[in-house]
Amino acid sequence: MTTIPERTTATPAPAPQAGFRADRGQVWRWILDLIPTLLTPFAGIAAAFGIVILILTWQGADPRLALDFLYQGTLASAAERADLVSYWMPLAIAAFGLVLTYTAGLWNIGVEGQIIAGAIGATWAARLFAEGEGWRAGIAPLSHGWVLLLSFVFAAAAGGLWALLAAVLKTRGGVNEIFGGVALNFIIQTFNMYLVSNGGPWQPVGSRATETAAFPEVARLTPFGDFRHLSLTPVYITTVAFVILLLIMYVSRWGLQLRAMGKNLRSAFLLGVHTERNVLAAMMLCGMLAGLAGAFRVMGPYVTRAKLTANPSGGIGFLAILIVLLAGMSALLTPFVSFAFAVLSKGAQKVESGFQWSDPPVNLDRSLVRVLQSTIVLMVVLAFGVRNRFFPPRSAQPVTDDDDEVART
Amino acid sequence: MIGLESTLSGIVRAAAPIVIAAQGELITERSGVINLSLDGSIMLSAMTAHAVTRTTGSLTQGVLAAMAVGAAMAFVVVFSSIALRLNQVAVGFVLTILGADLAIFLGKPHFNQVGREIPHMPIPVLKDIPLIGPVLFNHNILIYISLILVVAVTFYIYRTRAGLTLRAIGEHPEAAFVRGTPVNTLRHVYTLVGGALVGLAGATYSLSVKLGWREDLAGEGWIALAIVIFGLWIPARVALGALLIAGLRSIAIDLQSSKVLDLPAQIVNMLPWFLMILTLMVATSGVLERVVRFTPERLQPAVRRFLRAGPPAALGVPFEKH
Repeated sequence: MTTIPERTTATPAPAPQAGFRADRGQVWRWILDLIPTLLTPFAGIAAAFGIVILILTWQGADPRLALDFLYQGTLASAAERADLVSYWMPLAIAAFGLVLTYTAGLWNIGVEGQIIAGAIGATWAARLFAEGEGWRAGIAPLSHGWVLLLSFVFAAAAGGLWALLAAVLKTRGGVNEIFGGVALNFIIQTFNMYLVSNGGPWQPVGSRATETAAFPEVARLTPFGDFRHLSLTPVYITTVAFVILLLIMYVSRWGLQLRAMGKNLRSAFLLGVHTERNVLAAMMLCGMLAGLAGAFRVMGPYVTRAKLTANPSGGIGFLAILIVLLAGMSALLTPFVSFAFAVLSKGAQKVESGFQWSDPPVNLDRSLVRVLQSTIVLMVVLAFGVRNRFFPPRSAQPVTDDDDEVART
Repeated sequence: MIGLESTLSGIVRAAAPIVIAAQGELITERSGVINLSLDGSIMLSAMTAHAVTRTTGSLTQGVLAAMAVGAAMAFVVVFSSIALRLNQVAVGFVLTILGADLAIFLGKPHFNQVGREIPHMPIPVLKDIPLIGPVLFNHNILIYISLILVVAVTFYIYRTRAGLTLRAIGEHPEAAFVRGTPVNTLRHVYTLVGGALVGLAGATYSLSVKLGWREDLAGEGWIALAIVIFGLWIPARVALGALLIAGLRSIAIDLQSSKVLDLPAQIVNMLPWFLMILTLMVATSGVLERVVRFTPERLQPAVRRFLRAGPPAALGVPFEKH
């Protein structure tokens, strides 16, 4: 009996050519696939901006004026740009660490606490090894270079150990990951308060302010040129961290293992990936980077910022989580998204004061910018959800066999 | 009231919002959905309750508005999880930040303004019982709700058929689905109910515990979330955890006001978290099983059930029909 052919004979598709040359059809499909992927985040961002523009006009503020104030507060003058960079660096380096943990499928909500731990570590190093302007070195006074180096080492170690604690609680203690992060955040925030509040050991005698004394010059970062608030050291460190992150994510095998763990932990384990060790390592590395961010926050270079306060991080940890959610797992995008968020955060104050002094004065709180930041992330996440659900990328669709198969009889 | 009674009464009063929020989140998590937006939800609904009460003059509308806000936040989480298949933790986290920011931004005109208070409603006869009278029966309606809620939720989950279904969709939704349970619909419903309760907790904050709207509500939602995990998803234990936290805070406040140093107060502030971590570690290790073996034979199943640890098995996992 003749078998019924499964499909009508048609012109067979050309066999794939040898080498890397894909046929035109494939390239065209690849481009078509890319468009929704690129459009989706823009759709989300546009939606978020739309909402904020509505809020602005509802409050009686001109959106173009708001944009102008934002620009003035961040990019208009060299001094503002320098200040922006010094705000950008801790945010970016914390985000780099989070890219590692997010890729591995971990939720490092404790990053805020790790930044604080780093700030405490750097302050401790200053207390031990710096001398001058009323500071006595706890152990021995050292030169500027050594103090800076030890501050960074202490900060990275503190952040790394705090993250390791959260990781061990998760893997060995069976403590829920999110709960461990939240709990450790609260614990170290309280510890920080203890150190700098009234009667605390690090508060200078006779002061009622909840902060340490300002670091002496030997413990502060060196300012760059005339810019009081900008130091190049964090820029160098963050750039090195970025390069290392790119190497890990795109070149090394470890990055591939982390990605595998992120997609399916159990499968990765069965395939031979040392999941527990990788969880500990990724968390610890993230904590070290977060610790460095904390160090950048308390080491100045200008005297008014070179101290440990009650809130050394200022929400940078949570902002970094938002950044990583927005950038997806793309390590390449992270510094740029961090820059955008740094611009928004830093410009917020100028927007508020600008509108207060405008004519007629509009009472626009700076928290609107934070609303914008979180709305952007929410809208983009939702946009990706809508896209994946209703317009799935071709690679996710079930394979149809009309294009590539030669007809059979 | 005598010192101890007034202290205990204050603890019950301060713990009420956490109890309500934690019970709401417990219901949501028992159905298999994590609503991580608690912190932002509570802040936003507290602000809403305060603002609406001020503008309309009606306490009821304020409370209802707060519950609606809580339900709306929860709706975004569950909708994006089920319809859009997004990660619940990611959406919840973004919402928590957004909720907090929205609360601060929209609440500016109502910031530091005098708020209204829920009327005090002591129960006439019961409140005179020595010790437990003033502690349990001398409050306002929202606090009574928090007490009743614990009993009601326990009864619902463990003694009704609907409660069994709730547990089923949280533990093994596939099995429930095969038996005809509309898993996703119920998850929507329970998450909205949980969200409404979280909104109620926010209203309790601004209308009862800390009148008016101030920014220092940040962090309460995380505590409620932690207490649900700490109480291992059992309503009575979650309530005990909330009372423990409130009790430790009350001690911390006493220490702070009586001494110059903040030192002991800060350590006491850290204690609840240390205790919770320790408890979780012990609970999930094998130690408890040995403790159970020490109890008399007949009691062992009950003790084992009381000490059981573990989240609902399908928590956070979206259910997809094949």
